[in-house]
Amino acid sequence: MNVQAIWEDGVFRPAHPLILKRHLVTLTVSDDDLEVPSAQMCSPPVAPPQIPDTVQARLAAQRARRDEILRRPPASAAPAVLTQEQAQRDRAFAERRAWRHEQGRS
Amino acid sequence: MQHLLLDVNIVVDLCVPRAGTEQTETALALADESGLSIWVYAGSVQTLEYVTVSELRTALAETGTILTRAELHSRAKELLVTMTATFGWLAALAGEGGVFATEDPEDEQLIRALDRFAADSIRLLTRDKGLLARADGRALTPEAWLVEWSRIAATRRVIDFVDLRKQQAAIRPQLELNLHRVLHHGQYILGPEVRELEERLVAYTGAKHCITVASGTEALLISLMALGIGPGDEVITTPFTFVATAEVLVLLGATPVFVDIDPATCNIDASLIEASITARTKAIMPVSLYGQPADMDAINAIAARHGNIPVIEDAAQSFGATYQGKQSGNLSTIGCTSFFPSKPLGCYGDGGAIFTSDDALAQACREIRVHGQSKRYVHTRIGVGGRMDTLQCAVVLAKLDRFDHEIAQRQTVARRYHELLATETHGITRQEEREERVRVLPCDSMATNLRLLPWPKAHRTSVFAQYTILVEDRDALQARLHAAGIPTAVHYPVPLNAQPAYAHRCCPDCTPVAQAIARQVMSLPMHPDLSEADQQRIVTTLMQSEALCHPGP
Repeated sequence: MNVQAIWEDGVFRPAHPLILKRHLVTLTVSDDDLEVPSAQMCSPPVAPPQIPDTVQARLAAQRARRDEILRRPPASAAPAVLTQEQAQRDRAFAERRAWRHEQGRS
Repeated sequence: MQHLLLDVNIVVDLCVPRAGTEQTETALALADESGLSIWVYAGSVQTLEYVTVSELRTALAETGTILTRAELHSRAKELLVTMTATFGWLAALAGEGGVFATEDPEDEQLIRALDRFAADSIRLLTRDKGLLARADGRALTPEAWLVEWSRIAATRRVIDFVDLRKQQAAIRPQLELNLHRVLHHGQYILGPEVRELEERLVAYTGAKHCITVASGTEALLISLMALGIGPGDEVITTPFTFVATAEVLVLLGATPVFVDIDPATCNIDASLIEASITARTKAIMPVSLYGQPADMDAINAIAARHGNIPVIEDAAQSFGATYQGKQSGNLSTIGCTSFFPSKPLGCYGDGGAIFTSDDALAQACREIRVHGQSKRYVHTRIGVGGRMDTLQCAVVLAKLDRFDHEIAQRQTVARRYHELLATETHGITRQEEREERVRVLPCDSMATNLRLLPWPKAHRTSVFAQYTILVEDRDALQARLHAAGIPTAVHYPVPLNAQPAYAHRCCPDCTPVAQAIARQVMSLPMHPDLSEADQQRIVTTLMQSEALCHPGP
């Protein structure tokens, strides 16, 4: 059967009350209705799950460690000279990036 | 589901904040909290470094920060070390050389990595459209994983009776290295790891000799053979143990003489041994059950009084425990242990070891384990093919470094059970009183139908191979716990002297304590990494189930 659902803040809510046999069902949404056409790449945002305090604390500590590394001021302004091998690897990964970009991949 | 494999773009999400990063962080933190194993594919290291450098350069440029190339790489590597610190590295395998014959070697490696796991046990977390399409439903975006996690979290998780996954995660680098070394040197029988393990176990136990063997049962059999025990001989042992203890005696034509047990420890009652000694008694074989050494001083003294009868300690469950400061396995003429996977020190198959400080017995055991061979093709005695594989020794070696930590963890878990159950059954809530009661709690003083075995006796420690309690109406209680996702086990339901294969050889009714205990024992989940939350759930469910089985008046 077709079911109408209201999309609000990333959550689907059935337009009329429903009782389902399972917790998880699949809704098919037309590409025309999507802001971004790739459904799998950009799943609609979900309501954030209940995150325990312990996990919140761990996330905060992890972000703090990462941000400390990211925000550290530059140690040196002098550009290092690339070895031949480093330059070759740089070119290789630039090639990888270009190839994947051409394929529409991340 | 037990495992999550991370694609490069997901790891980069963690290192360099960008659109969707928060969802990725949350997904992984929840997965970690739920006890899932999170893997990064080791074959991706170069890609990880260069993609992180590239994303980092872009992100910093947006804030006006320009770093030298060397510093970019240095920061990227630091980020990768920091953000993957709790993840496992999934090794690239030899067969992956063939991925160049496929259209996308990078993706192919990840698909092959997924194929190593049962399909429903793993998901690949990625934002790559190609992988999402190729992985047969096994690949998800972090957003989709959060939906799946919510579903999983809503269902009641089954607690593992023994969970060795965290142990494996901790030792995995050393484990893989050890196994690869064996693959490369190719000495699968009596290779260098066998000698190394024996030397390390000698150092650990303080025994003069260690002889590794094919299993715990083989350790008992070879020990008895080395002592020359055979038809007509009697060996005194406990009826309350795994069948291997008595089985090897009957195999050799000897007669097991079962002596009743001490209800406080479930080990052989040393005060009853002497009455069973006859002229045919050739050995005493106590078992250090549930991880606590038997009353070895008393048993050794009895053996000495009767012409130095050899004492073989079956330390299959107690390896790592201590008695008067000495290691279990090195408490008598011979000690035997098992490296069965669920044992406190286990391998990934069968294995065992014999310990002795008697040179002649050690030599005999070494010969018996290789078909009684004293030198190549010279068979000076009857023997067996009883060697422990080099690969299994390599596994035990990897576990040995973590062993003392795991023993401490097991003791912590056991103490927590004891305190929680004491609180529930006696209403003891004051910490000091609870600790005191844990030390002295008598077996029969509980207010409910559930009783605890007393904490290990003074001057000895237990490795708590099992945490066992005594209950009434065990079958009904087990069924209720099983329905609630809590497994239990019975060690052991029938004393050996009442088993069909043994009853006609001995007196099935002459060990009343063992018979009564066998009807009541029930073991709860026990392993070094059992969490406090899981233990609380087990105890709460146990008490609720017990109340349902025995409603008050």
